[in-house]
Amino acid sequence: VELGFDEYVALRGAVLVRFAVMLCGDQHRAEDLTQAVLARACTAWFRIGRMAQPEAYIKRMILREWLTWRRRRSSGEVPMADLPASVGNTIPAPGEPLTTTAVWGALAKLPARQRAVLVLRYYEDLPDERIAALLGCAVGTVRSSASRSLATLRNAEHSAEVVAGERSGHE
Amino acid sequence: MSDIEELVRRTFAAREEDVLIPYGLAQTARRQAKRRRGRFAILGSVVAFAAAITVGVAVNADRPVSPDETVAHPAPTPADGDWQWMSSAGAELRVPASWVVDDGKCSPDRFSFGVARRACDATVRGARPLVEINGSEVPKQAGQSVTIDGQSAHRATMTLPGGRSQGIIRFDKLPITVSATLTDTVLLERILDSVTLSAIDHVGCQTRVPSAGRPAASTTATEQMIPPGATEIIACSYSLWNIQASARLDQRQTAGLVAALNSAPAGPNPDRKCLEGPAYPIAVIARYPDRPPVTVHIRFWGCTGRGLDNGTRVSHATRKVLGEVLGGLRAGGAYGGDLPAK
Repeated sequence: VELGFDEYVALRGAVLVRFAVMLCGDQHRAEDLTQAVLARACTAWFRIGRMAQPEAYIKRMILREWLTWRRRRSSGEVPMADLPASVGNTIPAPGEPLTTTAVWGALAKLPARQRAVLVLRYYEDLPDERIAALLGCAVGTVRSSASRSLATLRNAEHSAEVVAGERSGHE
Repeated sequence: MSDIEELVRRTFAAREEDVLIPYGLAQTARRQAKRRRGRFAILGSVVAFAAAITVGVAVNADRPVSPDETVAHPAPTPADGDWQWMSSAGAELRVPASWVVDDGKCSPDRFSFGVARRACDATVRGARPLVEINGSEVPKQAGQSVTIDGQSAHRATMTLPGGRSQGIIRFDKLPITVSATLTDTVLLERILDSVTLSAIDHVGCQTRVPSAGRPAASTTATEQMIPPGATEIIACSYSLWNIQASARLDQRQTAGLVAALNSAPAGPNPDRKCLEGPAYPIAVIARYPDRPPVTVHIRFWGCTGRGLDNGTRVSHATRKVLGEVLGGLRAGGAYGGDLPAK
């Protein structure tokens, strides 16, 4: 055991919260997620603390917890007739290039596993083989999922034109 | 890497800066666990801490190293002009002299806080060339079996999705992993080739946890904690098993640290009632041209035995001392909460 639980969290807690935010896209939900996972890790710290890479293990716990949350909560989401203002603001005007804000907004609309693939690939810099092992799927599935997600993001500008068109039609 | 991939990477990097880190994560997690599991949570924590102490004592007992060993060996040959040393956990390697080592500019949002050493080319925008010793998680690639200074390890190089290459050396029986991530594969291989293990690092710190020796008998010795005339001061910060960070202090850092050490109140810090954990000591070594070096052991973590000890004098560990020494080390730290300010 190299670090006690309290010290480990003091040292690496920020990294875990940031990882959770990248997955959830929401600060408050990420804090809930991290707390829930750390509460479980705390009681098993005798085992986790001795691991060569406790951070990897806890991040895996966060990933799985989040994917489970998404499944649990998906039935509770209520479809909305209009886009909230904050989401609408993230969509660039037709012809404008995509910004990081727009991509962040578009990421929020991706299915959980697709977003997870992008987070693991471009935030955590993990190779596809490792991502596949973490998500329990084939490497090909990871690649096709990433490809679909990137295509979705790439089309965000086109979508913006459609949304803008639909809005002007309503008006 | 395509534009959209780069944009996604930049999006994540930009969002990192906006993330707020809640205060008291561990305490909240403990409360939550307690609510969920009642008495079992408390029992688990006690067992974990007891195990930590047991393992810590066992590990330290296996490695009795005299404090004098710290200065008995000459420092390794300095790096070439174009290169600089970087070391942690007993591993050393060389990175280009133009890079920054343990600077906030290297992945400022993934802070090392004494867990890792990190170097990067801060002049590059976006994904910077980065080298880490025991840093972020690295994939467990099988790689090629190699032997470095008598220790078996595996060395692997892979291409990351973004086009950069990552080289990894993972020691089989030592808790050391080196990772280098950059686009220049020639430079990457040169950096990995430079990895060595050493008992004394490039600064002059022994890489295993030193024994603090017997506590000084006198708490009222008249001589200062660091007598005047030191020509060089180095700081060595340890985890449970080995060195985490080391630094040779510059003139300004030396002046600040010596003043803080010499002005600390006499006597040890009062013990407090808490669950004892492992110690993470820091050693400050002052070298003189005409007298033996003076080593001050700083123990600030835990419940008992905290203070500064140079073998003849004991003083309080203070937040001022910690701030000065951690600043010189470019490392973070945590303390029990009741250390005096000065």
